[in-house]
Amino acid sequence: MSSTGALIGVDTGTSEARRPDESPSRQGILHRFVRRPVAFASFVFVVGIIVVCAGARWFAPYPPLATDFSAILTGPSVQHLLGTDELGRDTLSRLLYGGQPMLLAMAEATAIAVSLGTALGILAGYKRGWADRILSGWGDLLLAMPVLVILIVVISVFPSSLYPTMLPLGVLLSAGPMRVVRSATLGVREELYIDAARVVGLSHRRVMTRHVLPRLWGPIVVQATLVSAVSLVTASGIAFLGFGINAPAPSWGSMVADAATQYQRQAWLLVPSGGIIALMVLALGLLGDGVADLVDERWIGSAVARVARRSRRVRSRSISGARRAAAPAGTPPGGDGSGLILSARDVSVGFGDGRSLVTVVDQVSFDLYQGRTLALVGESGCGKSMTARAILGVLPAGGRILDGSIRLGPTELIGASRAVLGSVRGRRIGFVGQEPHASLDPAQTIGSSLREVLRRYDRTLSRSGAKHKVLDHLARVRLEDPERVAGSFPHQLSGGMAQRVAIARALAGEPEILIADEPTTALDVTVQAEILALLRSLQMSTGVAILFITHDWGVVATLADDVVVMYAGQVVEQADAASAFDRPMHPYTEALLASDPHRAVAGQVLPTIGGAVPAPGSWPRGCRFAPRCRYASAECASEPIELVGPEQDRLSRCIHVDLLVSCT
Amino acid sequence: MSERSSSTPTPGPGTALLEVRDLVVEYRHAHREHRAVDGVSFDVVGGETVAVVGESGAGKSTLGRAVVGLAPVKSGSIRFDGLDITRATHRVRCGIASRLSVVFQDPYSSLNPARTVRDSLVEPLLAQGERSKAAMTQQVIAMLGRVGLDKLAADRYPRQFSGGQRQRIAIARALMTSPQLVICDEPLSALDLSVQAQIINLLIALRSELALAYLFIGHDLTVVRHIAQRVLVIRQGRLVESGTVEKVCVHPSDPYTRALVDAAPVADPEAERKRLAARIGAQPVADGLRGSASGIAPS
Repeated sequence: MSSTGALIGVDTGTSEARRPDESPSRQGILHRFVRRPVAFASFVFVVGIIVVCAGARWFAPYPPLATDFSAILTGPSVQHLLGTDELGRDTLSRLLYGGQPMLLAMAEATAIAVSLGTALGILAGYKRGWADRILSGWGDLLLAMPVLVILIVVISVFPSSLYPTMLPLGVLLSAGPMRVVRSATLGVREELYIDAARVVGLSHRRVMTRHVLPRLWGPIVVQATLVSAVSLVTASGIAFLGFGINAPAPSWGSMVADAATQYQRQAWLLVPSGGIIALMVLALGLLGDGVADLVDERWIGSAVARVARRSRRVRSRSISGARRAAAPAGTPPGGDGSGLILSARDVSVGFGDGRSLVTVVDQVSFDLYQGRTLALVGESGCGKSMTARAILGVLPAGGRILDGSIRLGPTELIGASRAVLGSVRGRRIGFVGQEPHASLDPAQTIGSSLREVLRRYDRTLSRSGAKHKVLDHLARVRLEDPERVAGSFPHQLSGGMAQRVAIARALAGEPEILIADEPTTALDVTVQAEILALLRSLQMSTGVAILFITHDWGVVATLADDVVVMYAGQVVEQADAASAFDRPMHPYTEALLASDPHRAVAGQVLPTIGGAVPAPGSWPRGCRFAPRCRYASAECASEPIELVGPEQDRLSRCIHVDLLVSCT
Repeated sequence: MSERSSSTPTPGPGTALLEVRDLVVEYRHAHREHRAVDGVSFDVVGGETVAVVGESGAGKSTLGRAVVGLAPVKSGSIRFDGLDITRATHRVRCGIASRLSVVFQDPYSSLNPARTVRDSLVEPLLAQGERSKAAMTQQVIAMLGRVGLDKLAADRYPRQFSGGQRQRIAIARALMTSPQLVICDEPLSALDLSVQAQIINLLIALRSELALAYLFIGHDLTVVRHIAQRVLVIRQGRLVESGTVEKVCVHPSDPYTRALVDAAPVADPEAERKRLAARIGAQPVADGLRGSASGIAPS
């Protein structure tokens, strides 16, 4: 690596790192489409119908008006696959020719509705203010219009053609797409890349076409299929009533009407004519859903959708799987464990199943002791948060515990029933997250959301008793004027106050364990210092064990008694806090400490760890840190490295500990 | 030059790249005026880095947004290279857009997820009227290399990159038109500390390579000191202290600045324990630290 390369931390090839799934942009769109059989079948059906109708001249076995009086009202036969009508005309041929006016009318109304709705919707959502008010009013007006009356008026002016009627229909139907596009635009408008495009000097028009429109393809496609289904039904209805189509010429709508008059003599006639309309509407709906997913998948990533769909199946399976694994691993932790509250052993967490299984936490073990703080340290993507969530039993959709044991006293949490987990969460294990405001219900006052929590823990608690307790809890987290805070809504509180409230709520059930997932990352340094002091003093008074997740060594130094360093889903080092700082025994710990900009000397190039954490699923076979490690040798990469204890009370997953210790 | 402008924020016109005078920014919120920036003046000279530091809600980001025309200026003036851009029209903004660019805080929101990296990077060039596809592609690849990314990155989507890599892409976009001044609006705060160090090194390397000036907005004084020559400390929209990094970060004169400096945690357990104990107002808790390291799991 060249010197400038080292300087700017070139990460060679790590753009691959964040790709647990195949890059969808590389796969053909057809390939991805085929993976969705329902949408693909719908697509084939819709396109097939359009093609055979457009090419009716070639595909239809008979001319649409050819009569055969020897075969009147026959059912399906070899000569007439879908039978004949009362004049002996071939139903299949008439269906194909009759599709032409219907599909053209549908296309006309859809094109008008979608283009008009999209243009006005983007304009309203992007410009906001007056433009939005006027356009939204226009949309409401369209919705309030009596569609039928307007269409009948237009039909009475142009009784012999369907197409003039489709123009007002398209305009009237544009209200739906417009509303959807407008609200989607309002969301996109807030994104920073819109600001970035403006600063670069793009005009509003180009920002709308380049940045807003591409984000809206999903909803637009769905709206287009809905509108086309509605306009197909409407056009058929008009034709059914005998308007828009000149009598002998076929159309799906008039064929239904003809069939209706003959249904006592030959009921079969209703099946092809009515069936084609119903099937088209159904297929359009299914196609819309599938294509919308497909369009967005390009940049959202398909794994998410797949995992979400499977989550339910996986959930039921995971519990039985975990039970099985827990049995052999369920040896009780060391008998001497005075103050031992929770002990996690070989906990593994994964997403997906079968061939697409991706492990994100790999055999993590640690213990939590009363009155002590364990810091879980590592970069983003090392599996810290997943470990914490596994303890709480709240993994994101698709995630499941693969293996291991988490014992809270005598209770095994992995595979525990919902009732057991429910009694543990909040009451025995509290949780504080990163975003204090996100964790509080914006529609409830602080007092009422805390009361709700307290009364859940203690059903005998009276209303006034709960009120008192709320104030006690707020005072305990050192909020000045608890009464005022209790009466406030979350948005009225600063980040620091909201985090205090979140801590109060987490401790409301008097839990033995508090899991804090980067609780100060979103806060200012001064507020962070106060929150850390608060946590420590609460720990001193209640003896709660804290599992603190962080990437900030300054926070570790402030609060932690013990440190577990995680890298690529594994524990790579475990030590008491002072030793971890003084004599790190894993190169990752050492590098992470060195790259903390708080410790660096001003004016010098900051030490960094080249490269990035490998993504789950692309972990190296041997030492996972080896590609970024300055001590790495050939043997590091050959075999998985075991976690060993080079000294008493210390663990390290490195075969070069000696080298490391002699260097420091 | 920087010393002079720090002590007296009113040098003659035309000497600085960016001149902000008595800037007031007000937002209307529910029929009430909220003054986000209140009478701030400062200069940024070509090639230097000025950091703006303060807590959330202090108005530091609004200050940066006002410079690029994304916040409503009530009074005061902003001059860029001698040109008044306080309430510049779109045409004027377009004219200076190639010389003044921005890196935003959140690399997840600042890149359009529906567009490839190449699309995002050519945008500044398109806005400047560049039409040659080949020339633009060449520039994109060169710039990706400069920020430490592989050229294969050009055809990928933002979701395929980590936070640090996305911020490199955002920096690349800001540098596509060879600007003179880059507004860095908290470009580090969404990143891990170890990645922050990488991005700081990158920004410093690019600064000397391309003779850039940065207006670097941040909240962490201990991080900012690595990149800035001068620091402005902002509180509730007002400038409370300004000066060289040594002066502000090591010997702060304002009590608020001192509180900011003191609150930043240092990765030294011994020192932190003492400060924590002082904050709690209790006896030192250091005994819990050295005792039995019983947190170790026998494995």
